Amino acid sequence: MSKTIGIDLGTTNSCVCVYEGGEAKVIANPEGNRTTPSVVAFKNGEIIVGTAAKNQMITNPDTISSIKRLMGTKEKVKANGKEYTPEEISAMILGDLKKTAEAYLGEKVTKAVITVPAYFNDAQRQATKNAGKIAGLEVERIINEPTAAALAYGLDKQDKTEQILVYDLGGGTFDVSILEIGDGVFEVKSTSGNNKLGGDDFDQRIIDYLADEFKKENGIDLTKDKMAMQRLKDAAEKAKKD
Amino acid sequence: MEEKKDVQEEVKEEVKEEKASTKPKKEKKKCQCDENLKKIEELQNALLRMQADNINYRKRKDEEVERMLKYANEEIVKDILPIVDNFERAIKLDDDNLDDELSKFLEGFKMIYCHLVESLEKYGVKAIDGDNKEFDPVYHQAVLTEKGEKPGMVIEVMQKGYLLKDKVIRPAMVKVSE
Repeated sequence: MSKTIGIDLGTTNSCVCVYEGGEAKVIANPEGNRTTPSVVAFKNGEIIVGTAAKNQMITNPDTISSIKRLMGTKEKVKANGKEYTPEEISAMILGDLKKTAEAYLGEKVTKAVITVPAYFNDAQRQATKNAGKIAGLEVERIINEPTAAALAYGLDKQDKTEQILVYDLGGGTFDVSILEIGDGVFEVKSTSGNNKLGGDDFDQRIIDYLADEFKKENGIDLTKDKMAMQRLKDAAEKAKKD
Repeated sequence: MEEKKDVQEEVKEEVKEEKASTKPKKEKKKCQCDENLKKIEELQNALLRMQADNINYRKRKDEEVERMLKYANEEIVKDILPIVDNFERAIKLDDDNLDDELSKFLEGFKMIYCHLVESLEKYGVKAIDGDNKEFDPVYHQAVLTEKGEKPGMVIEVMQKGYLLKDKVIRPAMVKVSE
C-alpha cells in the first residue's frame, strides 16, 4: 500500500510532507531544504526545478516563476521554443516534489493531497488536479490551505463549534480566511486577501528605508550599486526574520 | 403397540427435527470460523505491513539523524560567513606597498582571517570555485549579467559561496557573461 503525500503548491515556494509516526512530517529536498522554490527553467533540453532554477533566473529567459497565478486560466507561457499550460509547468514542480518524497520513502509514490487557496474556483481546482495527474499523481483530495493549516494545529479535535481566523502571509501573497469548525467539519465562511502583497514587499520597504537613511547620512546612493543592494537585501530579509 | 409405534415415530420425528435444526447451526459455525480465519489473515497482513513500515521508519529516522549530525554546524557557519566576508573586504583595501601604516594594521587582520578560515576548514567548510568557470546554478547564483566573449561563464565572483562538506550552504553570487 503506497503512502499518500501532502503537497503545498505555493506561488513562490512549495513543500511536500508525509504522515508518519502519527504526525505530518516535512520532507527535505536533496539540497537539504524544507521548501523548494516554485521555479522551473529549461536549459539545453533539460528541466531544472527549484533552487538551481532560481539561481540562474536572470541569465535564462526560459525560466518560469509564480505559475500559480495563472492556474485555471487559458493563458500559456512560452519557454524553450514551446508553449506550456500552467498545468504542465505546475506538474514539473509536483514531479520534483514527488521525486523528493520517493527518495525519502524509498518507494514509489502515486497518491497525493494538494492544498489550494480557499478562493480558488472550480477551474483552478481542476487545473491543480490535472497538474497532479500529469505528474503521475492521483490527487485524492484538494484541500483548502486555511483548512490544512487549522488541521495542522489540531483544531479539528475540539468539542465546541468555533470560528477561527487563518492568516497566511506568504512570499508573494497574503490570504486571510475565517473558518467555522464543529464536529470535525470545516466551513470556509469568508476569505479575502491581497495576492500582490507578501514577505518580499516587507523586505523591499526595509531596503528602501535603509538606502534612504544611508543616503541622508553619507550622501551615497546605494541603489546604483547592484552588489551593495544585494547585500542590503540579504540584511533586510535577515532583519525581518529576526 | 400402536401407541408405542406412535411414540417411536414421534421420537424419530423429533430426532429428525433436531437434525434439521443442527444443520444450519453447523453451517453458521463454519461461517463464523471462515470469517475468523479471514479476519486473522487480515490482521496478520496488517501486522506484517506495520512491522515493515516500522523498520522503514526506523531506517529513515537513522538516516535523518545521521544527516542532521553531518550538517549540525550549518547555522552557526552561515552566521560566521559574513564575518569572513568582512575580513576579506578589509584585506582587499591593502595595496602593493606593504610598508605603510595601513598594511601594518591589516597584517593582524590577515592573521586572524587565516586562522578563522583554517578553523572553518577543519569542520568541512570550503569555498566554492568561481572565477572563469562555467556558470553552474547548483553552486552559483547569478545576480548580474554582462556581455562577454563566451556566454555562460562566471566573469566575477561578487560574494564567495561556501560548501559544508557536500552541501551548498551559500551559493556564490556571480556576474555571468551573456
